[in-house]
Amino acid sequence: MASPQTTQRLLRELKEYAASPNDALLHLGPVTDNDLLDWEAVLKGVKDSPYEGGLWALRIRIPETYPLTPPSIRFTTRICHPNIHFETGEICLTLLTSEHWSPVYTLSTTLTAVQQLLTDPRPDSPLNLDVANLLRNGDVAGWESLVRYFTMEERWNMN
Amino acid sequence: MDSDDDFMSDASSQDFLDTQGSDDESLEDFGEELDGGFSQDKDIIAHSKKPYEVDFKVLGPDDIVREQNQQVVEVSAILGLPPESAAILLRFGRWNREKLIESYMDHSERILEEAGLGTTVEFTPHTQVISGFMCDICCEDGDDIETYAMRCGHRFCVECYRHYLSQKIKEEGEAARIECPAEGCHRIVDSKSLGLLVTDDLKDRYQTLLTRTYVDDKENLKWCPAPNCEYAIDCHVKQRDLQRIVPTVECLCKHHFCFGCTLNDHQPAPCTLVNMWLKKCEDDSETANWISANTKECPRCHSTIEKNGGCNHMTCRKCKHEFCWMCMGLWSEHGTSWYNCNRYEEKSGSEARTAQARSRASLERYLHYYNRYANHEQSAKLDKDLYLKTEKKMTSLQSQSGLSWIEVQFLDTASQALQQCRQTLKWTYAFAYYLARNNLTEIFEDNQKDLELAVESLSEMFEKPVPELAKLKVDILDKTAYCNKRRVILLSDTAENLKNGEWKFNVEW
Repeated sequence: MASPQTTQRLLRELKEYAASPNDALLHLGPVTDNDLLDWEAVLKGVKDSPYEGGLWALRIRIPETYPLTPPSIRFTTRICHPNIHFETGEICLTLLTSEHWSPVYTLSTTLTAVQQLLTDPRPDSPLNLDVANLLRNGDVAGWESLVRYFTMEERWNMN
Repeated sequence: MDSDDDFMSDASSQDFLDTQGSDDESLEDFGEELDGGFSQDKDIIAHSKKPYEVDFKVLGPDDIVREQNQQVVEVSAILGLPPESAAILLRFGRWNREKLIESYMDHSERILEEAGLGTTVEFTPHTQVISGFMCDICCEDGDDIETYAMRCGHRFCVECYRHYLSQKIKEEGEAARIECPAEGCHRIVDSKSLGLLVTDDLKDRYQTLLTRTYVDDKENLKWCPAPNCEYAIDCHVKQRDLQRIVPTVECLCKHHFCFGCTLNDHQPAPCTLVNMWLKKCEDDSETANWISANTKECPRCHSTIEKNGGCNHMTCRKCKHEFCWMCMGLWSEHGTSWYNCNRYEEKSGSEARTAQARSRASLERYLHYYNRYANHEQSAKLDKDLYLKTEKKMTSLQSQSGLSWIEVQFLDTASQALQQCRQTLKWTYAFAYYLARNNLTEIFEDNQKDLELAVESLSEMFEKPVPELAKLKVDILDKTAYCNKRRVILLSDTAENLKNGEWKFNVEW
């Protein structure tokens, strides 16, 4: 069970998200009413990028020590990106490591950072080597079409 | 960050080999000392240093703290900074004072920024209540909340700050580089702020962690690896000197260990060979397999690292070295030269294959040395059991033969000599395994044989029933002295040749 501080903070975040939703997200909130430490989100693709029009579901596990330690976030919809594992959805983002996490980040701002990662891929620290190699070898056209294909093929839908 | 690397090189390094070369001792001198020079008195060691001995100093917990504080106070006075800031600077510069002061004089603002001491608000931080404040961490607001901000001005409630610090200190074991909780702020939490915010037990833990990083950061300091031992050893043998010397040190807790690799005393074999030998011996152990399959060593500080997820861009938690998991090369080189790591796999694969073929061919040779190595290890254990019974033996000897306590001490001396000689013998076999044959190895093997014969006959006498022991006293004393002498000769010979680079090895290391 979450501590009173964590609960209060999460409720506050929920309220704030309702008051001012994040443009990067279609949805953000706990999966069920019973567990405040298990959230889900749906991320939108950035306009004018190969990810445009895409929708991806993410699962967010919040540690009991949140916000002192970072949440663990992974994609549950498959995504084609150099820094995201195609099968497990694991994300390589320094922000999500305890060394670089700041308790001031919220789930909403963290997901904005994830969206920024989509348009700012780091092929030098790859989790998906095949995609990273396309970029590293300068095959931008190939990379973009591959991303477009998967973005549409795997697109999350309500059902 | 080009200055970062400069801090790693040691400006004050002095080549110990040069200073050591001056005392040219002849082998005859050794016969005079029956205790083998292992007396605790450092003055004696300094006067009659053997070729295989190194200078070192043992530091207790208080000494370490004092040494640390002294440097902080000095640097604080020189640079005109508060002590807590000087401490952060020193830790940032890995306690290389001269280098730090120099670079601080050249570009103080940049150094302050990089160390996490950026110059911003000029006020003395203290906790205060501010009306209309809302804490960004817990979202609590109200006019009666106690708040705190460091000189960077990022204000949080004291409660959150405290939780944050205790999370970092207790759970993550971080002390020297705890940053301000604010997003993107790299200001380091100083000891003064910490003192204002946390409870006493956390302060103690924080101090312990800081002391630990102090010893870890300094190349000339190492913790004694014995369980529960709180001492550290100060020794000026550098990593690069390990090809030429086996720096065995003795802690105040009586533990003998190698300063180079912190393993148990492994004279006369050099660290690299010991490492190779142990890996080889453990080849069929499951643990060793797992370690070699799942971990690698940081190319800079040699900490063992397990990769449990994420990409190949590794940052060593301990020394912050950035490298590629695949090729172990510098990460910075990957940025421009793209991803060449696939080549590594191929190369290491072929290397592993030839190494395997070679080891199969030399299996028989290996077994020869391994059996003798293992035998001495086993015998040393048996002798150790005897050693535990020695005291009983000594007591019964006192009552049966009417000898006084002081007169039966020879048994204790003998059993200690046995332990030490077996330890040395054990490693001579690992050492010999890697030696290429020449005239020197003949002499070495003669020395080895002499010591082995002496040790075995002492071991035999030692096992005699109690009534006979009293009669054997003179023989045992003589044999003990002889064993120690043979050991000194063997170690001196190997150490001299190692120092002068005379040994030829059958492996590259």
